[in-house]
Amino acid sequence: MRTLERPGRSYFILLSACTLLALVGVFSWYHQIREGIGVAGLNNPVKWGVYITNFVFWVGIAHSGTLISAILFLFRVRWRNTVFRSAEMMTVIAVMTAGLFPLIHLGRPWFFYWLLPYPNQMQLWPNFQSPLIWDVFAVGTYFIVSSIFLFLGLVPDLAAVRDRVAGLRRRLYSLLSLGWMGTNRQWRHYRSAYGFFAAFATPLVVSVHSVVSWDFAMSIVPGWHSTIFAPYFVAGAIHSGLAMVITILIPMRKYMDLESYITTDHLENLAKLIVLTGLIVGYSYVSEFFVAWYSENPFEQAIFSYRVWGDYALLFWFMLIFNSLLPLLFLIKGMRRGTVSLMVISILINVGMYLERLVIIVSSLAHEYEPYAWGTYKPSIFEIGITVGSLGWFLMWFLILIKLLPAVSIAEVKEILPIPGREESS
Amino acid sequence: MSGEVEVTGRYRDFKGFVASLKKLHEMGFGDRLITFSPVMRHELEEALPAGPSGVRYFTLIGSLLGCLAGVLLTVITSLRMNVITGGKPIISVPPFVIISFELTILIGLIVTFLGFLFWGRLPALKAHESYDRKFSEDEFAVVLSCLREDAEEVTLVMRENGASEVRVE
Repeated sequence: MRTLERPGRSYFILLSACTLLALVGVFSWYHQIREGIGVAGLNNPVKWGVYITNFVFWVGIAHSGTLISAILFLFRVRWRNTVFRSAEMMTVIAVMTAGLFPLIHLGRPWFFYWLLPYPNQMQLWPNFQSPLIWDVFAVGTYFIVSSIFLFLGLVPDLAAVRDRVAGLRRRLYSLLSLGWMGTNRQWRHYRSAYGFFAAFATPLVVSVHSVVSWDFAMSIVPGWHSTIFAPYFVAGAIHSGLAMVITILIPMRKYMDLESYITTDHLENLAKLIVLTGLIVGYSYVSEFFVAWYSENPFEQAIFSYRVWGDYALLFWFMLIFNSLLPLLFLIKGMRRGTVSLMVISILINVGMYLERLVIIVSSLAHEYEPYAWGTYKPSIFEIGITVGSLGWFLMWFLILIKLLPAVSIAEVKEILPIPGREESS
Repeated sequence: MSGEVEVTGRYRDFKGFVASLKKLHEMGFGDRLITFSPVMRHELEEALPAGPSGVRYFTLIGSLLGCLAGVLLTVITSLRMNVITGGKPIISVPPFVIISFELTILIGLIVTFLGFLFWGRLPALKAHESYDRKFSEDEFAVVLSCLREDAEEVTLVMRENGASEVRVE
């Protein structure tokens, strides 16, 4: 309930700064719509740039919410109870942000509905063999399911808030809590529905990033056409998502005085998971290079050599260090439990994961089969504006949501508290 | 129904609340009990054993409908378009499985949510007469509709198990 109290001045300053950043993105997009997609740095051969990078990055960020919420729920991991709500909020906002980028990349976003299957006089239907249509279904499903999952978990908490506020807020929370009273009947069916959501969301989360990876793997572009892309992308998504959860939880728990709920132990457990995902990501990097070398395919070998020594080599090396080597510092207990080390490493992992997507997308397109068709790519100021704007947009919605909805699950935290019994009462 | 009364017991003590439920269940009132609790703990499920929730039928039907919708959408629209793309068959099973899988989950879970609303009788436009805002914080309650002649015994069970207040209406 503390998170819902009237915010201080610093909250409004932060919210204003994020809104301003979001407006930079809105302005840049407006400019692109007005002038045309030519204002972006996209070119021939690099037709996919930071917009698609942003899409993959934000979809990846969205994965930790479902991991913490659904997968850890199925495994009955008790430490999830205090952190899953913020991760779920992050998921919904990140998918919402990710969903904007294919539209921004379209150039003519007002025709977005062409992606949807709807009856029309010309009897045209989407090509269901295209991975881009799989994306529409996968990301759309993920957004709807994660939103309902968040809402379902919130119902008992919204009722608790409803019973403690007055006036207009009471009416709002009454509406949102659907008249929940916590009867045995309601709890029974709630638990059942929650279990089904967790069980179905788990394969969904794996499928979504697999589908995103197939946007690349289904093509014959060297560096993309790989069978390991699906597990590699899923592991990377969880890696970046966990890092983002830590990045957001540390300031949130300090600012909202939640240190007794979101403890150092919780952060340490997240850091341990990051070590695991970091090792998987590192293994994937090595596998990619091994496959390229062992296949004796000159195009594959050329692209991986280009990544290491070519135009984007600096980004590649930062990616490797930030994603695979830095997380190993969490093997040291002091690094896992120190707020500063957690914050710095988690931010660098996010930077590294962004670079990973940029390196995969841009370097492969820049250096395909024919040397006379090679090229390079540099994002324009408007692409950078939209990218920075998406970060502002994400943080703005997060700040709004944590003030409207309980950021820590009230009902589930009560589950792990000692039960009030006669022994304690006496 | 003039011979029936409603007995409400309020508890701050969770163990006493669970003990009351067990006793009332043994007395044969299990099906008529309504409890209010801010939290769902396994002790409550053990005290008032109930069969599996009906939500699962919604999940099953929703998932099957979703899968069927995915198959029909992809197959029928591809046959109507009848354009070969990428040298692949008009009805390509692997990509259609992806669409069907996503729709299975999407429609399955939307219908699961509707099932939760249906079985949980939500949205509830009016709160139960015995509901109190403390029941979403740190108190528990049990409400039982029983014959007037049973009310005294029920009251006694509630009091013996630490009810902070027992009301007969």
